[in-house]
Amino acid sequence: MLHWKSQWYWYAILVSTGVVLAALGPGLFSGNIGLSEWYTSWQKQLFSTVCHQELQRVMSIHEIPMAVCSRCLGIYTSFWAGLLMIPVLPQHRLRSKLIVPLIIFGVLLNIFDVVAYASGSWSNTLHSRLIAGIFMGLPAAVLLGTSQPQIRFKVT
Amino acid sequence: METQHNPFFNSALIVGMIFALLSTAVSLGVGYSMINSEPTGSLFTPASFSFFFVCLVVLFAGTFAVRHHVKEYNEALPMGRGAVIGLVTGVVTAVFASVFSLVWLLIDPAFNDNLMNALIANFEAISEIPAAQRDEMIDGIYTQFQKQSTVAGQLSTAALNSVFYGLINALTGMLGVKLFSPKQDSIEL
Repeated sequence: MLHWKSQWYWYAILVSTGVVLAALGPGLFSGNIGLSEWYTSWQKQLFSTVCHQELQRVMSIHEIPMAVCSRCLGIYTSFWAGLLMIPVLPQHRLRSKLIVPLIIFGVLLNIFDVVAYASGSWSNTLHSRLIAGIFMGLPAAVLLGTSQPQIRFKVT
Repeated sequence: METQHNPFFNSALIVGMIFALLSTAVSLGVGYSMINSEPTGSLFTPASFSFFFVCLVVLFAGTFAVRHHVKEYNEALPMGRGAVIGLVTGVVTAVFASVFSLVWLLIDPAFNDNLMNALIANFEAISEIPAAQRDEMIDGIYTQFQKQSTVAGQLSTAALNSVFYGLINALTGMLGVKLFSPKQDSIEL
């Protein structure tokens, strides 16, 4: 498992912190830029292949859109928060038992949210997408620090 | 400790190439659907949904590379090994995705220009945001496409993606160890 004394734990924290800072977008560093600068910013370009970055579905800082949509923001920030929680979360039988099913639930919840919204049979909001993202990112980080997850996928 | 010496580059190469091909195919499909459709005048288009699946494909290449490696050698992997497999897989994915995109530009050299025109036409039809903001976005789209049309622009995009995919896939590679590697009890320090 990923123990806080492991170099890989600190590597994960470092990368995750960098990703979260980038995901918050150029508004984090400057409150005085236009949409043109936002569009060409490195933060926006960094996530452009993995997130739609549609203005209606992106939260803002200082009225400047972030670099990712609210769902991706939920995933990245909750993963980061989950990593920080690893040293203080107790190892427990329930945690080992439930962590993988929780990840599967988070993935399925997001797939349902996206597909149902696309088909017009479901509606979501900026905040509901953020929460759906958290359901994916948080258990993924906690899994890294879980000593013996009871469910593993058999590779044959 | 023998696991440390099992070569993993084949797994990284195979999974990276497949995932690069998938993500390029989806990106091209989305691009052509935008080019061939009338401007919707909406900020959020049906093509936007495809990003969710591209994201899952690109960012979890490391997880699947670890799975492939475990299948080959069936041995417990330490976390660090999963991170390295993920890192290499991410870089391979980014490099091949850039190569496939460049190859496609040889087949259809007008693709980028057509995509830029389609994006700009869509923004011009949007009434939900003020005209000044709309013009700023159009300026941004034009500047970005001009930047990416140069060799330096293509190389910097490939480099940025290699770093990003590599670092993220190193994390998902570690997840792959937790999900697919046979049981390992030791805490890795």
